[in-house]
Amino acid sequence: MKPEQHIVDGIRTGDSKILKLVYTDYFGMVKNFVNKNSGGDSDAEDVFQDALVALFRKFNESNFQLHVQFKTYFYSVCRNLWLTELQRRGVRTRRVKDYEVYVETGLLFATNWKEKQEETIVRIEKAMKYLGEKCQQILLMFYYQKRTMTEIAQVLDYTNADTVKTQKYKCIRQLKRNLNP
Amino acid sequence: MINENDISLIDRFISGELSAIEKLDFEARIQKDLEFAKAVRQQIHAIDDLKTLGAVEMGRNLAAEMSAWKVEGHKPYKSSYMAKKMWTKIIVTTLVVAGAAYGVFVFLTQENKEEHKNETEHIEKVMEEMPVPSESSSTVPQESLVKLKDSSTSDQPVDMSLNIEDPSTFEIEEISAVNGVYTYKLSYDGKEQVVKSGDPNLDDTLTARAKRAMQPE
Repeated sequence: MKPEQHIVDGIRTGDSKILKLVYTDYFGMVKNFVNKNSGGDSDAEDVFQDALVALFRKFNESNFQLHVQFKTYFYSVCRNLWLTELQRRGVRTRRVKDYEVYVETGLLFATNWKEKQEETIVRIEKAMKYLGEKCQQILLMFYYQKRTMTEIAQVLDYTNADTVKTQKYKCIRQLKRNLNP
Repeated sequence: MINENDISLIDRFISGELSAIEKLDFEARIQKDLEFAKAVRQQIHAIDDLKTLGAVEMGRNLAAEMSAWKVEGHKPYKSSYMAKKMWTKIIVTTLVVAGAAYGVFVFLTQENKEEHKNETEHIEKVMEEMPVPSESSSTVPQESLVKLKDSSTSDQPVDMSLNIEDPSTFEIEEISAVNGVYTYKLSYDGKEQVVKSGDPNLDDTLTARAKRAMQPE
């Protein structure tokens, strides 16, 4: 296991303890970068949140491998997000003031990703609303957090993995019906 | 009718877990089973939507949790990059200052050498321009010549060879001494001249000069 794999796993599963650790250790870095590059504290908070969400999505890709230090990767993602946001706002930056080494991460997504996917979000939220709490949790844990049936059974207090498997089948069938009435 | 196993099969297809043979069978079934093809398409879209929802949920949870985290605060930030940059600056500055000091040192040394060289050249030039000292000049004390020059007599013991047109006519007529001052009575070119000097051997010096003047150069 790589030294920082626990951070990657924590973000991938949305582990609150790990997310807090990331905030404690790295929010100052993000705030400093945003503040020194034409942004305020609330901008820094938005960038921090969006960056974690971006990592949450990225780390859940089956083929993802972290090849640099987490700090470097996180700084690079935040840097990318904030510069894209400045560009979107029409703010010209003559020279980016950097305080850490950064790597090319590509644009994971823009800070206005929610606006762009508004329609999708409304549709899926509406479809999920009719599923019930347990179904929502099973589907998100299985399809997004990539948890095994056994893990889900333990977290949601089911008797065994097979029960979860059956339950998941019913949930996805219902979700598909809700999404395609 | 799509059953539980079909859903699992589609899940495995979406996550790329099917073997090559299973994948071929899967794709063949999509071609001939329209209901199955529709189920696959719907499941792919549903999972994409779930991922979007998962990200939204994550963002919402973060926003709520961050309010609590802010109260506890975060670690003060120290830029590792800036520290590296600062060290780089210090090293570069030190090198530049050292380089500049060395440059000034080399320049000054060069200037001193140049000055010394010029001085040496000047001295050598002066030395070259100076007349070659003769035997007489080395033996005739400068002090006595000056003294004689300042004397009331018109006799000047200057370079005799310059004043003698025919050195073969040069002769020491008479030598006398009073209180350490020697009086030499000379004759040349048909005239006579009296020279006073503190040098008792001036007659020899002057005779040698006259002889040397007679020799072809």
